Amino acid sequence: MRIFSSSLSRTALPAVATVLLTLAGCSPDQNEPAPSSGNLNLTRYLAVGDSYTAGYADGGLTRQSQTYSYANMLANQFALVNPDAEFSLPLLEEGNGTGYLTLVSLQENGLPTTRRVPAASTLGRFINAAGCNGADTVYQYPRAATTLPQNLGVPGLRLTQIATPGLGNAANLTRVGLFNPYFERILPAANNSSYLQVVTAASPNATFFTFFAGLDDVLPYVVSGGSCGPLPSGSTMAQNARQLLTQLTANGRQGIIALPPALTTLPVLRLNNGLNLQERLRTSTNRPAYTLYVRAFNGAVQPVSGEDYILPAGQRRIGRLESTTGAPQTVPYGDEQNPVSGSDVLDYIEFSRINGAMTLYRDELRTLNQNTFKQPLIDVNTALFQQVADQINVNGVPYTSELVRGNFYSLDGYTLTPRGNALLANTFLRVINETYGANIPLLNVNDLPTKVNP
Amino acid sequence: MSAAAGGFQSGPQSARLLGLGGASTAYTRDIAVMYYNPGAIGLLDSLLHVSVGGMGTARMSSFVGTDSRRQTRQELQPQPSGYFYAASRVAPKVSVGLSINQPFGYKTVWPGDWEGRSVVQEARLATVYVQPTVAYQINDNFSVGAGFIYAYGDLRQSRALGQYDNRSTQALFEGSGNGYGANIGLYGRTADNLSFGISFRTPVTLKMDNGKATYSGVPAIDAGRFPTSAGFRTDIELPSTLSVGLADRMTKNLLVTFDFNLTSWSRYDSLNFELDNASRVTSGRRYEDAMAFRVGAEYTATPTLTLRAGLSYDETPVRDEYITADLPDANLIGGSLGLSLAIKPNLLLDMGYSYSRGGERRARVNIAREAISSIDGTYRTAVHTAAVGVSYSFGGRASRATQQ
Repeated sequence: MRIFSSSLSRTALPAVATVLLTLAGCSPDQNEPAPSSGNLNLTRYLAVGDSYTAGYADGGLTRQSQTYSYANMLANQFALVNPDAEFSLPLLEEGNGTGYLTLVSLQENGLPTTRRVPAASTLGRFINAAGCNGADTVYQYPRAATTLPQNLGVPGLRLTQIATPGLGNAANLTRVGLFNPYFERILPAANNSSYLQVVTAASPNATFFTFFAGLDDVLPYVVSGGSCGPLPSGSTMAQNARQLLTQLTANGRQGIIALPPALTTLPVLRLNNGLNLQERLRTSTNRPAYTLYVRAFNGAVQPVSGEDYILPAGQRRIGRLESTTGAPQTVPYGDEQNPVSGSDVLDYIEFSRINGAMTLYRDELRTLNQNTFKQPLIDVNTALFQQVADQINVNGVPYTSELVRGNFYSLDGYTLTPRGNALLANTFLRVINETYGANIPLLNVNDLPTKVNP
Repeated sequence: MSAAAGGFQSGPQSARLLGLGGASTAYTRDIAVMYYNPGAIGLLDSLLHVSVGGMGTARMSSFVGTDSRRQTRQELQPQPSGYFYAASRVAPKVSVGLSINQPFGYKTVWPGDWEGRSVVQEARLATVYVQPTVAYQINDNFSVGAGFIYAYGDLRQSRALGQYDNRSTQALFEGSGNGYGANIGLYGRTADNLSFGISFRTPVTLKMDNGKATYSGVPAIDAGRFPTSAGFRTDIELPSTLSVGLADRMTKNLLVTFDFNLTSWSRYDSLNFELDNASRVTSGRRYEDAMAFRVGAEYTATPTLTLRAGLSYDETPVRDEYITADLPDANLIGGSLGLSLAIKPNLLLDMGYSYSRGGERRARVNIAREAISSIDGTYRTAVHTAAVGVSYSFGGRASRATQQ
């Protein structure tokens, strides 16, 4: 009996019970909310903005990265609730596009070493001998469309240049500082319109818009350590944004306005903070008293501060023995006799100037919207970027502002990975759903690739 | 995980008790009662009673993501379990018994590629409690009993590491361990037709020192963070239970039982995996103590057929802010049915089935609390439990003879 019972209890009886359950088994179903666009007409969505909107990532633009722009992701979600919704992109050919950064290795300190994959083809090429950090090369990328696309995002677009005619025209390739190599791509042939004219022409056909610009006005100054490009005026940026928004909101058109993130949340600054770097160097070289010196914008040599940011090129040079004028022997880069040069550091005064411009733009755009446009406003900084800087957990997956492992920022240190773009698109979708009574499914961020290019 | 199942209790541990909705602290017609009240076997007759059976529990939850607006259903994978009880009076006033059952456990299986795969794909705990029991009859109406508990448990938990592109990247934690506890109870009859029971079962800590964490599919760049295989240790805190029950024989053929249980889940504060490399994987649980109320009725329809029905209400120990996909528990209202068929005078075939259903539970997630892995959405849960068993009495009439 004992043997019989134990074999009965181990196999036969559970099996019987299991069969009974399988017959009875059913899970309690729930209703999925019906997708709807609420009181919005999403048939023709128009995206206005800069690098983020265009889908710039890993320091370049490829067909892949264009399709992973937050704007295109939004359009895909709109199509789920409105079968008539269409969205056109100025797509590049398959392949390397404008060229992009690819990961070579990840250093011990978490910073990536990258290599540039060359561009597939270019239309024009000009070596600008008067580039602010020595000669650099400007390319013009081939013209894309015969009609205006709906994604009007242009990498490197500055609000301060929206009224410049021929901004992307090959004839102006040599017009240093007033040329955007990506702008021609969105223009029909033989068209010399300014960006403002493009938006003016495209707006009447649109039923909904997003506006997310301003970051590309300040980034050239930031990534060149304050040595490139004029310091933009936050007021001018906001006034020019107003001109664009006047067109976009004409005839009661609805949309979303986004404020750019705070500069300090971006890895390009966050990972390069001078004091943190000095701390890392003290640990790695085992010299607790080591002091890093930088040359400030006014030529003064001073110990690094918590508001100085050492740019990647400069970081790679630190510790390298170099001969300097006035010293008999070679001196490591970063020592008092051979301080980090002005173009390798965004020092605290440069930082406060550029940060001031960004803050002013954010404040004035906010006020403008409150008083004039009255559109839903997203501060992507508080809604997303600041949270990522502190680490977030999305359905069990961590996202941080670390490059490579953080999965949010692409290798250039300020644009986003496909997952980062999906988180940004979801931020927009939450506000759209809430404001317009819509019920648009959000993206499953963790389903997207962690990097855009192979 | 059944009609009588707050948290991860597996509910009534026999086909008969399942039919009664688990209201068993003062129910002496089934020797399975020794697990719920060791004192209740003190008034046993001199026959050797054996009860053995198998159970299957299917806990099914559905999830609708706040973001995705899509429904995901758990996969139907019933958790099998079994029970064995034997008891007899060995001396005047002294009865002994042995109880082997599986009172705690859960098995949660989500589709491998569901949207919460990096929170949990599969979570499973199975336990076995072995309880030698002795009971002493104080007088005609009262008896006390005590049992020693040896518990064994087996844990398995897997989740995807969604920070990597390779969809098959996974973390798997497996471990087993054991612990000890005790069980005491008092049983009494205050009138011919009324009896009562009170019992207390101590908590048990399952110490799992031999756990193994396996990481697969991790890219070379992070091989140092997630080694292919690592040891870990953890403690599984199983709660204590205080039970009070009544049984009232209302007519010759009808017995009604009532139970109240207070389960001290609050000692289950978090599930921590301490890995060999000194890192630690913590999931907050912050369970609360939970009450349960049960009512059962047993009707002797014919000399060979006994029918049972029960109702139960199980409060969940899981707080709103800790609802997670590995055990999306809810307050459960359950109903049960059962019957016993006398095949021979001393051999009964017992069957029981219960269905319980929980209210909708909303998991709210703040992505900025990066230490907590969860997914925002609503859960609904239903639990089916079925049990089949036989009860055999050696040397006399069926175990119905034990009835008061």
